[in-house]
Amino acid sequence: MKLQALLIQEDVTLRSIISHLLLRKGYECHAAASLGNLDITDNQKYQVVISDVLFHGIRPEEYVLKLQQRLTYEKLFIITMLGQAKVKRGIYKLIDVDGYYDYPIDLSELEQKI
Amino acid sequence: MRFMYSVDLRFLITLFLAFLAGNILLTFVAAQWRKHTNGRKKMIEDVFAEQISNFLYPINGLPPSFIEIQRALRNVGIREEKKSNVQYLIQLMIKTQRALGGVNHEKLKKLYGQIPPYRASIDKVLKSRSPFQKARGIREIHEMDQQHYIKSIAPFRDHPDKYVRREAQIALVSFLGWESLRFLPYLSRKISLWQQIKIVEKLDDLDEAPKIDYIRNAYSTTNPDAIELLLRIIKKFYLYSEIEYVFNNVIHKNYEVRKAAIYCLLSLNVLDHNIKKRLLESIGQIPSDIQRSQLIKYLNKT
Repeated sequence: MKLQALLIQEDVTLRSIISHLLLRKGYECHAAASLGNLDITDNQKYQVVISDVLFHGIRPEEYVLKLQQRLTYEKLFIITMLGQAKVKRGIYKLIDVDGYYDYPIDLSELEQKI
Repeated sequence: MRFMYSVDLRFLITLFLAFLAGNILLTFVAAQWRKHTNGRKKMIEDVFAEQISNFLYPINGLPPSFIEIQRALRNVGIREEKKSNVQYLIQLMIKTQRALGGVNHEKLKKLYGQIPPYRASIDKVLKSRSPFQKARGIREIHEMDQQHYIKSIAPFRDHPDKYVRREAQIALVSFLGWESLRFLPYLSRKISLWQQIKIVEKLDDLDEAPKIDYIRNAYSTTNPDAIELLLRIIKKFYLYSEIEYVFNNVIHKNYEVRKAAIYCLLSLNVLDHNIKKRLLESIGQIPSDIQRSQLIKYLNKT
C-alpha cells in the first residue's frame, strides 16, 4: 500500500505543484482547498500532512488545533505566506510541527524531509 | 380631472415597472458575465497550475517543452488581443514565482522568458503613454525577475513621474544589488522616505555583505535625498568605516540630511575620541538649536 499524504492548500497552483512533488516521492496524495472541503474516511492515517494555516474566518492557532483534533498523522509540515515570527512561535507552542516554511519556499528542503 | 390622475398614475406605475425590469435584466446580465469571467479565469488557473507542476515536477517522463506550454496556454485564451486574460496570467505568474524560492524560482524565471505573454509587460513600459501603466509594467518585470530588460528599464530611474521612477529604482536594486548604487549620482528628483526605506530593505534582502566601493562611488551625489539614503544604508548595515561621510553631513545645509546623519551617529554609537573632538568643534556650525542639543546630549552620553 502506498504511503498516504494529505495536502491542504488554497492556492491552486501551489497545491498542484506540491501534489506533483508528493506523487514523485511515491505518496498517494489527497489534496483539498481547506479542511472544511475534506472528506475524511474513518481511521485514515496519513504519513505526511502538509497544510497552510491562513484561512478565512479562523486564526492560525485555532486552525492547527482543529487540524490536530481531526486528523491522525505522523509528520506535519506547514507551508504558508505567513512568515511572522510571532505566529510561528505560537504554533510551535501549541502542537508538534516537523517543518514550517514561509514564502519564498525552497521545496528541495521539504523534499528531503519527506 | 379624475381621468387625468388615473393616466398619470398608470404612466408612473409603467415607468416604475420598466425601471424594475431593466434593473433585474441588468443584474442577470452582470451575474452571467461574472460567471463567464470566473469560469474563464478558473480554466486559465487550472491549465497554468498543471503546466507549471509538470514543468517543475514531471510525473511521467520528461517535463513539457516550452512550445507545449505555449500551446496549452493559447488554447485557454492567452493571446495578445485578449488583454484581460494575459493580465490574469501575469498575476498568476508573479504570485507563483513569489511563493517559490531556490531552484524552482530559477526554473520559473527561465520559463517565463519563453512563454506568453512574451512582451506584455515591457510593451506597457515602452509603448504606453500612461505613467501608471509604465510603472505597472516595470513592477511586473522586476517581480518576475526578468533581468534581460534591465537596459530598457534603467533610463526610467529619474523619470518625472514618481511612480515610474520608484518602480525603476526598485527594479535596478533587485537586478543589480549593491551595484545599483552607481546610479545614485544621476538621480536629480525627490526620493521619498518610503522609497528610501524600500531600497534599504531590498538591499538587506540580498543577504550579502555590503560592497563599500559602490557606496563610496555614490558619495559624489549632491541630491539631499540620495545623501539621506546613503546615510540610512550606513546606519542599517553598521558601516563604521564610513563614519567620516556621516560626520561630514552632520553640518550639511539641509535639515533632513543633518537629521539622518545625527540618527546614524546615534545608532553607530561611535566612541572614537577624534570623532568626538571634531564633533565638538563643528557643533557651532549646525544651524538648528534642536539638532545642536541632540548632539550635545549624545556627546555627554558617550
